[in-house]
Amino acid sequence: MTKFILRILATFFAAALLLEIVLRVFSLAGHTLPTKNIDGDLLLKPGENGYWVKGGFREIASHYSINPQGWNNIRDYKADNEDTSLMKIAIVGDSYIEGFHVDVERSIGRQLEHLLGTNYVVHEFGRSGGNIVDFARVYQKFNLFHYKYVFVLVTYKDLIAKKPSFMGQGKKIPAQSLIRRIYNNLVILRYLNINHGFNSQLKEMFKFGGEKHEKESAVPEPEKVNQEALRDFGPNAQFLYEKDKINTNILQNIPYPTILIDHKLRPIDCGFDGHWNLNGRINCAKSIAKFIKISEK
Amino acid sequence: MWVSVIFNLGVLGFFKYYNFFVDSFVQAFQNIGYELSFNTLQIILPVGISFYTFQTMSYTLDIYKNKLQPTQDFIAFAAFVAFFPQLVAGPIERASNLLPQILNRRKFSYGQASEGIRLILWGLVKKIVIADALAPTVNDIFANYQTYPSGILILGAIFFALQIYGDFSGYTDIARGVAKLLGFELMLNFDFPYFSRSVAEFWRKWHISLSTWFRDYLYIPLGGSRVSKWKGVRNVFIVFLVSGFWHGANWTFLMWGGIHALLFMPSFVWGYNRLHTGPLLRDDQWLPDLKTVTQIIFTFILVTLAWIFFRAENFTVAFDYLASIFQAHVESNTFLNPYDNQPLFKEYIIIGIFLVIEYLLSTGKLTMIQEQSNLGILVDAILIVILLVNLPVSKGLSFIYFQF
Repeated sequence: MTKFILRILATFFAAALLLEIVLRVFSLAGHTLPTKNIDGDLLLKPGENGYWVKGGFREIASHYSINPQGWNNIRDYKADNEDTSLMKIAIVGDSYIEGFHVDVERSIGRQLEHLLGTNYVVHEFGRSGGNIVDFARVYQKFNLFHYKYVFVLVTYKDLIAKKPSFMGQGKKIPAQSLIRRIYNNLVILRYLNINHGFNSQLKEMFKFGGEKHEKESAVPEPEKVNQEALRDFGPNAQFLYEKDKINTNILQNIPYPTILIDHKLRPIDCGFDGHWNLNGRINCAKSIAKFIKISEK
Repeated sequence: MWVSVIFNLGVLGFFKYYNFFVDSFVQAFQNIGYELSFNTLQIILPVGISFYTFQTMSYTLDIYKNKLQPTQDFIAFAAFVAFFPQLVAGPIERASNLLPQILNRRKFSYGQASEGIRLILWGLVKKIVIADALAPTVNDIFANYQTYPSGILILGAIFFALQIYGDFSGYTDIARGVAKLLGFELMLNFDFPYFSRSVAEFWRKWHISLSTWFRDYLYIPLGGSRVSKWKGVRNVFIVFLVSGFWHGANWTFLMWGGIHALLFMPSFVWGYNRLHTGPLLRDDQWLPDLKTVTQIIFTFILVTLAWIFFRAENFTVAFDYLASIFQAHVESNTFLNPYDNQPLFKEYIIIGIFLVIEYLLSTGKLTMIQEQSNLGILVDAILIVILLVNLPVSKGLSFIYFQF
């Protein structure tokens, strides 16, 4: 039996070593994405460049570049803001705007600039997991009321959130512990975590006690919308939505213009990831451009 | 004996076939202008019911035929019926093989356990890397067959043949592997059936535990081939039709069984159904001769066409699908895998490698178990890597044969 257990251990060690080599040789795992506490907010570490990869065989692989303000964007917002001749547009949202599923050079902002012309610059304020509280705080903190237009991408889930996910959460940045350093240096862990939720599976395995189910609230859906957060936006705000992610009766509770994203091109490639591909981003940019062109007529 | 047979078939009939018979009965009367009203039952089919009822029946039948002594140990009997590795999708074990193993004390064997690990890993590769990888393509082609040209429909049928093999034989390998870890030996259920040279040989290599069950408990009691030719033909048809029906309460399964009976019939009538019982190659050969290759390809084509009935939701779909293939509607559009919206490429490479390995295993040029321990560890590690890289990012799929 001891021999057999040793064999099993040897097999797992050999498999881990082999997998690490295979993943590195074929670049099947993306780089780590360090976060940084920027003025108390949990943003991405400025100056980081690399590839974000998902899928067993790099089904999704894209280049990212974090700007000095901590957003995945090739533009330096500060430099742009100093140029008063430019017409500035902001897009605020979650991972769909953060845009790790498409090369940063082909983000919604770049598509929109291409559609609108050289006078316009687009700044994207996207952060994975963001919600309406975050978006309202982004609007206030980054002085978005100076922008010509601000487009906020929301789902119903975002609208009913009461607590922020990254704004004011800078303290949550994990320390560079030994485990963290191992994680950053072992491709195999990143690969398993991104594709198979290794981390959450481990947590699930060691979770004791049954799941806690929240009681179903009797409040009707439209009334759950966080109006307090919505009040923080200025008159230049417009809300973007997709028809499958929000009920139209909710829209009446948003006191700003709403724009439906018209998905004329197939927006998703992989069944395992619902984020937009390049088509999805083009669809979004076109919907915004159409709105701006009508507004400016 | 009859009490046991009636009880077991009664349970199976109630859960699996009651609604089918009621629906068919009502439909038949509707066709001749009578309206009948019968209530169907809203029942959930117990998982693996077809497998363990047959396993239980084999116990009684073997005792009746004096092939086995009844056991006094109820726990052992219960463990035989509900032996968890093969409970839901076989192999359908005989009491004469499994029960003595349960009754006797088992000893841990390093070799057996290592073999078990290898079988489990190889079974998982078949399930995840082959069957699950092909499933989105197969599902898409069968769901939208009206929109695809003949070439893609042929691809869908071939992929389904490989999918069902990977799925079912993968499960069996996992079951046999788990049993080996516990010190049990389960029977071989698949013997590389797609390298068969005739339909008769295919049935000696596909779902062996079921086909030998029907041979021993239905075909031979009916007289087998030791009766007049016409009775023999009748017996063959009965066995294949019942075998088809065993898979599910649907006319498509019955048709699938019937087609195989027809495909088997020429070799039975002219007496060459035992022709291909030997190995595929001589010891000094690496590749079969042209005649053998042609026979293998021809058998695979016949079996694959029959699979269309097995996979299709109903007769209309099956016949339409077949008709569309033979209409030779040629169009050069690239099929995109619905999983990642990319042209198929990786799938062809994987299938190619898989078939080469299966061929080498089937001819004995490669063995599942290595004598050398270090090489064995390396092979297991490679299988784990293959599994992890191919593991679907979204949720995996259940085994096809769980529904039977």
